Parts: sequence; structure tokens; C-alpha cells
Amino acid sequence: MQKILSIAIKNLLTVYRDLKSWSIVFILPVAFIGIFAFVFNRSNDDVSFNLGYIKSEISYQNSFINEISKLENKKKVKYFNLSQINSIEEGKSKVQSKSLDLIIEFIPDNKVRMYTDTFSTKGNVSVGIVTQFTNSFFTQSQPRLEVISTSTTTNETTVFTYLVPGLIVYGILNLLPQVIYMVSSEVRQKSTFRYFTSKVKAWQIILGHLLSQSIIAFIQTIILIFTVLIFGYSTTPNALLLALFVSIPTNLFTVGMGLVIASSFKNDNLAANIGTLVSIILGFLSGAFLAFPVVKLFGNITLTQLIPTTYAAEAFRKVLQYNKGLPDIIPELSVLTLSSIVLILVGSWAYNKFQLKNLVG
Amino acid sequence: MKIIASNLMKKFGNKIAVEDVSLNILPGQILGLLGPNGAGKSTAIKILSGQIKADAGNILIDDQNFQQIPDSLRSKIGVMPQEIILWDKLSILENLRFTAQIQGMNKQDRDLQIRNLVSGLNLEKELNTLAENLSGGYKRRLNLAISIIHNPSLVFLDEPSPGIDPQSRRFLWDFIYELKKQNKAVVLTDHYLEEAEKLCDYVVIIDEGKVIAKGAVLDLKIKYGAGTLLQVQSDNLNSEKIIALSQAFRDVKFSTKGFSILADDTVEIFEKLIPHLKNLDINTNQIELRQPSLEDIFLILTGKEIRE
Repeated sequence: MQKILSIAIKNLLTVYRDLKSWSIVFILPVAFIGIFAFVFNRSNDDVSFNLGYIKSEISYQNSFINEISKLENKKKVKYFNLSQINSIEEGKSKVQSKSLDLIIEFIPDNKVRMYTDTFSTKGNVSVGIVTQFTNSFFTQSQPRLEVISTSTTTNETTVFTYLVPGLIVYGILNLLPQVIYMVSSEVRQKSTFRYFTSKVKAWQIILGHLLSQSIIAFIQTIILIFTVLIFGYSTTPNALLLALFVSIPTNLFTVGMGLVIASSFKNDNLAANIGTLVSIILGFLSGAFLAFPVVKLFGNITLTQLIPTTYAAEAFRKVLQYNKGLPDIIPELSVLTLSSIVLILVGSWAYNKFQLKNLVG
Repeated sequence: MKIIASNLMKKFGNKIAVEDVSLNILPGQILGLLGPNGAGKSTAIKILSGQIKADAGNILIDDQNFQQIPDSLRSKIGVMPQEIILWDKLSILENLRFTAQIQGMNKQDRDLQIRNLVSGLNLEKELNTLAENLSGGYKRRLNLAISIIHNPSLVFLDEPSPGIDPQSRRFLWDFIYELKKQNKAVVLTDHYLEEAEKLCDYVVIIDEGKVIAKGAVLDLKIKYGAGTLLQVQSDNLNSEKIIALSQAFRDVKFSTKGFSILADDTVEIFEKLIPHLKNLDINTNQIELRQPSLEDIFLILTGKEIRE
């Protein structure tokens, strides 16, 4: 235990004294949230999205339209002004003239196709909201679903508040390059030689990194949550505590992923670039910015269901936006915890095989 | 800890790094492993310190036979690598504490050893300075300190003092001598043969992976350097003059600065040399007569200067 603690303390001191680490861990995500808040944190209480749909014979269409029309914010303002259109062409023309933000078309096999102006913020946000709604709608066996109850949220709903859970996940994912930087800089500076010639084992090194990075990640999450609160996000104290709890397995997953990448590459620049790429891809796939469309892979399994951080984003969303309790997020926490354990085991194995055993020669 | 290594061989791909290397490492003795760059010294150290496995050969440690140094004995070995390997964002004291902790030392032993090393290597002044801000000399000394923090009985020092100021080098060499006095076995490679000559009890000269000479420094001098060394500094040697000198003198060795001749009879050599210098029109900037040093013996044996 002394060796694990020593490595963790050494890592924490290194981060504390390194400006680059500070900027990656704390400044970058805060700046990121600040920019999003500046751009998107405008009240939507009097903003609705104009949604056009094409009449079809699909059985669930009426139920879908009925439910989505109920979506409203705290001040009882409807999210969508719905209007029926006759054709895609008519809808596209209206999107171009900005009289519609989004068109939806119902097609067989429980699919909804959407059209919008990809350069329009309102269009992109409405895609996100409808995708969230659609995912929820189609995962219910009954059309009479409990719609995502935005009406019960305590938030003042803006695009920013919609994005907050995803931004927190992305902020945590930003730790990936930091974890990789920390581990691979030791490899580059050949500090691993000191480990090799000492009594410390690979699993102790990995646990030392895990401990220090988890502490950093936890502090980072507190800063992220504090930042979104400063920028006007409102939620309950209980939700905040639960969000911190959700951050623990999310952090472990991120650190585990970082350890696997850092342990598997001798070239630290390559490892750092892969880490950055993976964090962006995971951010998008887990719906960190906008909800990712349903992409079925096999059976009813979708692409996002295979991405553990999707469950993190979902857990944060349930907790922060819908005021759900611990029992409601047990499945998400379980997936995150299990995948973290797998990653940590793989990371220990890879570190031993690729960094320590191949150290000399 | 006593190590007797026999017939060690290691290949990297098709290149033989060390071949048929045999040597003894004994407590209270400083063994110098000398050779030009790429001779196989570092590979030999890596094998003997358990970092890599030899492809062939035997290692007898305290009368027990091993093919490779086992992990269990690694804690008795300290290795100071050629590169300076420190944790840049930690101070001298933190580097020492951290290394002691990963070596599993208890607080009492740790504090005692840190005190000894800090005072022995004269690190007090910069104890709380981050490693990244230290001068080259301090970095080298700290590099040594953290390599032997766990008080090993066998210490490998792979070129411990290149590029540092004379004062720091003096601290290092005094400290290495102290290690010998503590009955530790010390193996070192170095380019500074003058200092190696003063420190080493026993020397193994390696070239192209093979041991070409070994023995106590004095024995090597008697065996390979009996007589007087006549050293001529010249700046106008060419191939024609080199051939002529080689034909005229049996033990002539050339270097970038001129040439040297190992002479049994100094007067006779002088009488023979002067006409050659005149006839061949060789500029003589300086002629020096002295006893051969380890560096001269190295040149005689390998035909190379150690820093080539």
C-alpha cells in the first residue's frame, strides 16, 4: 500500500507543479463549458422550435406527435410548434426560409428521418431533443410512454442546460490525454527504469496512477459542476451529490481507458494523439454534445449501447435534469463499473508487457 | 555478493553485442569495464544486473548457478544508468524519498540512508530544489544517490561522470571509493581512464564484444606496457609517413594528435627516431617521455582512443 500511495502522491505533486497538466485537467474543460454557456445559455422560455412533419399511415405517428407536442419547459412553454407539411420538398423550402427548424418523416420499422439546416443552432438542438425523445419512445414497448418529463424538471431550460450532462462527461473524458501524458512521459523520460530496478510491481504502478488520477478527476468534476452552476445551471443539492457519485465510475472508466492506451504505445506522442481522438469520438458517440442518432448494429443493439460513456451521460442526465434517484441509475453505474474494472485489468497487463518487460534490450 | 560470470553471449538480431565474456565481481573491489563506444559494456552491465538475459553463458552468484539474475536478487543490486533518470518535478529530497518508498524501505532505514547519501554526495545545498532546475553535476550525483538508495551490495555505474564539472566529478569519485570501503562490489564503465586507473582494482577491457585484456591495473601495465612511452605530437602525418613509421617501429600507435612508441631502451629508440623524423619531414610539436598509463595500454590493445 505504501508503494501505491507513494506513486499517487508523486503523480499529484507532478501535476500540481506542471502548468501543462493544469491546463489540460482544469483550464481546458472550464473554458470549454464557458464557451458553450456563452453561446447557448440564453433563456429558451420564450423560444420554441418549429417542427414540421409529413402525414403518413404509420400507426404510431399520432401517438408520437401527441406525446412530443406535450414537451414543455418549466414555464409551461411548449418546446415545439408542430405543423403538418405535404412533402419533403415543401419542408426543405421552409427550413431554408427559416420558417421551420426541423422536419420529421415517419418511415416503417420504427424509424424517424429528420431534415434540418446543419448550420442552424436551433435546428441542431431540435434534432438532439427529438432524437432523445425518439430513443425513449421506441425503447418503450407501449406507445403510451412516459415522455421525458421536461415539465417536471426544476431547470430553467436552455440549450446549455440540455447540454450540461454531456459537457460534464466530455470534461471528464478530457482526462484521457492527461492520464496518457502522465504515464507516457514517465516512459519517455525512462523513469520506468527506476520501477524496473525497484521492488514495485506493475499492478502497484497502475493502482498508483489510478488513485492519483481518480483524485484529480474527482476534483475536476467538482470544478466542472461548480462551473456550470456559475453559468446559471440550477439543480438540487441532492442531484449534485448524486452527480458526484456518478462521476466516480465515469472517472475510473476514463482513467482505465487512458492507462490502456498509454500502456500499449511506446511512442508518447502517438499515444497522446490517440487519447485525444478517442476522447472526442467517445464524447460524440455518448451524446455529449447532441444526442447521437440510433444506429442499429445487430438485433436491437445500437452503437451507443456499446459505448460505456453513453451510460455516464444518461446517468448524469437522469440525475441532473430529471431529478432521478440512485435506484434509477443502477444499470448505468453497473455498466460503467464493470467496464472500468475490465479496462484497469487490461491496462495492468499491457503496462507490464509493453512498458516494463520491454524496457531494456 | 560475489558474481562469477562465464562465457556470456548476447546477440541483438545478427549483431553480437557481447561474446565469451567472463569476469568476476567481488565484494570490496572496484571492477572497471572499459572499452570504446559500442564495445558491449552496457550490454554486459544489463546482463549482470538482471535487466536482460544472456543468450549463452553462466552466472554464479554466491556459489549458486543462474542463467539470469533472478528478480529476488534485484534488490541487492543498484544500477546507475548512463542517462540521467530523475523525476523532474520532484525535489532532491522528494526524489530520494520516493525511490526509497518504491524500494520498500522502512522509515528508519530510509531516513538514515537519505542522510548518508545527502552528506556523502554533498547534496545539502539544493535539497529542496526541483530536479529539473539542478545543474548537471547535481543531477549526476542525484542520479547516483537514487540508484543506490536501497543500500545494495553490488553497484553498477554506467559512465557515471560525463560532462560534469571537476568538483562534482571529484565528489562522485570519492563517494565511489567510499562504496568500496563499505565492502560493496562496484562495477563501472568510464571514458575517464585516468580516474578509472586510480579507482579500479581490476580492469576488463572489451572491444567489439570480446574481452581483449583483463587484470589488475599494475599487472596490465607490466604485461602490455613494460618500458617507456615516447609520445610525439605532430600535425603533418599522412599515409606515406604512417606506413614508413609502422615499418620502422614495432610498437608504434597512431592517434589524432600524433603517434607513440613503446620502448624498452629509450636511448636506442631516440637514436633511431631522429633520422626518421628528419627524412620524413615530420613536424614535432612536442616529444614526451613517460610511463604508459591505462589510456596508453588501451590504445596499444585496441588501436583506438576510448573517446573515439
